[in-house]
Formats: sequence, C-alpha cells, structure tokens
Amino acid sequence: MIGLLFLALFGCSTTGGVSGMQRDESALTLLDLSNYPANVYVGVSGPYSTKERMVEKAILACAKSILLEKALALDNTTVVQENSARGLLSFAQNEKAYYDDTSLKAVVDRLEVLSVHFDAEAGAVVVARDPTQSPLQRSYKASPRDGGKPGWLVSLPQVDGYRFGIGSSKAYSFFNDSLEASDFSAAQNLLDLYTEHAFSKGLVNTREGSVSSMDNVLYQAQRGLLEGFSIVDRYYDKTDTTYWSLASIIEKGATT
Amino acid sequence: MKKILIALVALCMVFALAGCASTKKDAAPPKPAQKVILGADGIPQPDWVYKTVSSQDMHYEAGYGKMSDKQISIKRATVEAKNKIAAWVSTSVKEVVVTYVNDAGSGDDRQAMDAMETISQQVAEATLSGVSTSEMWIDADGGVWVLCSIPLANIEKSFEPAAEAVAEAFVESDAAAAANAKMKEAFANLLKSADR
Repeated sequence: MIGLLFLALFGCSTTGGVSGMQRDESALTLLDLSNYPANVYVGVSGPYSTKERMVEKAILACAKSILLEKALALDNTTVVQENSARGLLSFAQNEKAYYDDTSLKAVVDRLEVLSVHFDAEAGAVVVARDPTQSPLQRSYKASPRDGGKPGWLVSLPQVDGYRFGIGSSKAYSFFNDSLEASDFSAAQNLLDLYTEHAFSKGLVNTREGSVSSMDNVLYQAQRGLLEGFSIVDRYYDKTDTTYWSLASIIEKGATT
Repeated sequence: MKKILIALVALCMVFALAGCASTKKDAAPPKPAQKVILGADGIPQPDWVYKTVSSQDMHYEAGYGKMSDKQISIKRATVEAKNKIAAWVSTSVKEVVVTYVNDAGSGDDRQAMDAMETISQQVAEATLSGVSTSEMWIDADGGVWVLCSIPLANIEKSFEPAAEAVAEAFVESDAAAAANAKMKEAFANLLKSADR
C-alpha cells in the first residue's frame, strides 16, 4: 500500500489548490473514463489535509468501485398512505445497499495506478487498472455535449446485454459525497426499473354511506443483486445544482 | 368533323369518370382528427397510458407519479404499477354493511334517524419476481408514467418462498454470497417488521 502510494504521488498533476471550492463540471471531466477499457477505474477522495491521505482515499474508492461492480445487493421499502379527503399523506422510502469488502486489501494490492490528479473540489482523482480483468469495451460511450444536457436524461440508452438507470443528488458540501449519493440513487433506480423480487401489500378501506371516505395504505419491499454495476456517465446541472449519474449493469443471462 | 366529335365525346367521358371518382372521394365521411398529446421533450403520449396492454406471456400495468422531482416520481409510479400487479395476482375483499339507528325525542317530536354504511376492505398482497419497467413517458406537467410488466411464468414462481427464489436466481460467487447473505438477513428483518 505504501509503495502504491509512493508510485501514485510520483508524477501526479494538480488542478487548482485544495482550498477554494467551486462547483462546475470541470471536476467531472477528470472522472471521464470513456477513452479507457472497462478494466480501468477511477477513484475520488474529496478534500483532505494531506495529499497522501487524498491518494490513499482515492485508491480505496477505486477498489470499492471494482467490488461494487462484482456484486451490489440492494433493498428498499416503501410506505404510502393516502386519504380521499386529504390526498397523499406520506411517501416514505428506506433504501439500503450492501457490498462485500472482505477482499478490499487484495484488490488494492493488485491495482496499477495510471494517473493521479489533484483538484480543488475532487481532492485526488486516481485512475487505476485492474490487471486481473480483460480490457473489454465499455457498455456505453457518452457522446460529446456542447454545454447541453446529455441525451440519457431524456431516454435511457439501449445496448444489448446491458440495463441502464439514472440517479440524481443535490450537491452536498463535498464533491465525493454528492457523487456517492447520485450513484446510489442510480443503483436504486435500476432496482425500481428491474425488480427481481418484491413483496407488495396494499390495503384499501372504503366507507360509503352518510359519510364516504377512502384510505389507502401500501407497503412494498423489494430487493435485487446487481452485477456489473458501473457508472458510465455523469452530469452536473448548474441551474438546480444537481448531480446526475448514468449507471449500467449486466443484464441477467447476457454474455458480454 | 367526325374525328373532332369522337375526341369531344372521349373528353366528356374522361371528365365524367373523373367527376365520379372525385364525388365518391368527397362522399367518404371525414376522419376525426386524432388529438396528439405531447409530453415533456415533445414526445407524444403513448397508447399504453390510457389503454390496457395485453399479451399471452406477460401481464402489464401502468403507474403514475408526480412528486417533487423526477426520480421520486419514477419511484412513485413504479410502486403504483407493482401494487396493481400484486392486486391482479391476489386480491381479497371483505365487505360489511352497517346500519345506525337513533330514535330520539318524545311524543310527536320523536325523530328516528337511521343511516346505512358499507365498509369494505380490499387487500392486495403478493410476492413478485421479475417485474421490469418496459416503457416510461413524462407528461407536460412533469408527471411520470411507467409501464411495468411481469412474465406470466413468474406468477406461479412468486408463490414459492422468497429465500428459495433468491437462492435459485443468484449465481453464487464469494462476493455475491456475502452481499446476498447481508441482504437476505436485512430483508428477513424487514418482513418481520412488516408482519407486526
């Protein structure tokens, strides 16, 4: 790990200072991996007090994205309450994601760091290759956009063997937190769109007579295991300070 | 002169025939103009928003959601569509009729008030597997419509215990097994809390 840190710090480049936060899409361009094969990953640290700490965190983020790609288990529960007189009373969701981090050290040890950048907003951005994986083509290559919104915000890409989902998050104080929230939302969107297992229980109480009313309570739980989860594009909407992520997974039964 | 006469007769016949054809065309009842409803980004409203979609191997249900942002609207719409699928798979209705009588007052002022109410309780409960969102359309107001589908073959499967279905569906790798175990544990807890 120390050797990897040394290698990573040697020959790194800097974009702006660590202080002075500014929010634009420039930090996102550092995360663009569209010109790399699918066995190359990017990790972002967010700002820390030392460069060593930032690189360490970014390498861990790289390794984490490899593990997330391997298997990401998700579940969520929803409770909806409606009343004919008062309308929607609540729409509450509890969403969780799990991944196996037992092999995190082994993944970190085998990573080959390709580049390290420092950025005011992103902290350290590490691009690293996993030599144990074949350099396959990426599921989706973002088309260049001239300041406009990406096409995937309107309709999801259609690629054989893959499924896509989008997620969004309001900007948090730290860039990496915003990205993580947006990526998590994209994973949950994939679960919403392609539900493997769901339990749904709806209860509608209707009262007709001198006083008519209707109450509707709905409980839903769903879960799924995503394989090949990968963030393939990102977008930052300045107008409403929202981060967007486009995620892809391997379609079950597909050979890629 | 004879040739001119023949040409004139031929010309008249051509006009007459053309006239007949156009008369017939005009006589056809005018088609009502189809109203096209455009959604966000100018995408026309698809048929499945207002028509039932059916096929021999899939069951479809549409859901609608309009919440504070697009992502939550998608969630609301998919929750509604899945609830409709659950209702289609399994629904039970209990109904009771209740009457209230209140005889009050005295002498000529006696007043009988009675009321009748029907109280019905509808429960839709099902475990579903393999529900996917086939289509999505966003209306001009930002409301999200989704069309969800479930293979009919999965309806029978959905009555199997969930844990067995999970075990069958997942190809076990070390990472998958560990992640799956954590998930199943959490899901079992959720179901327990749902039963309470």
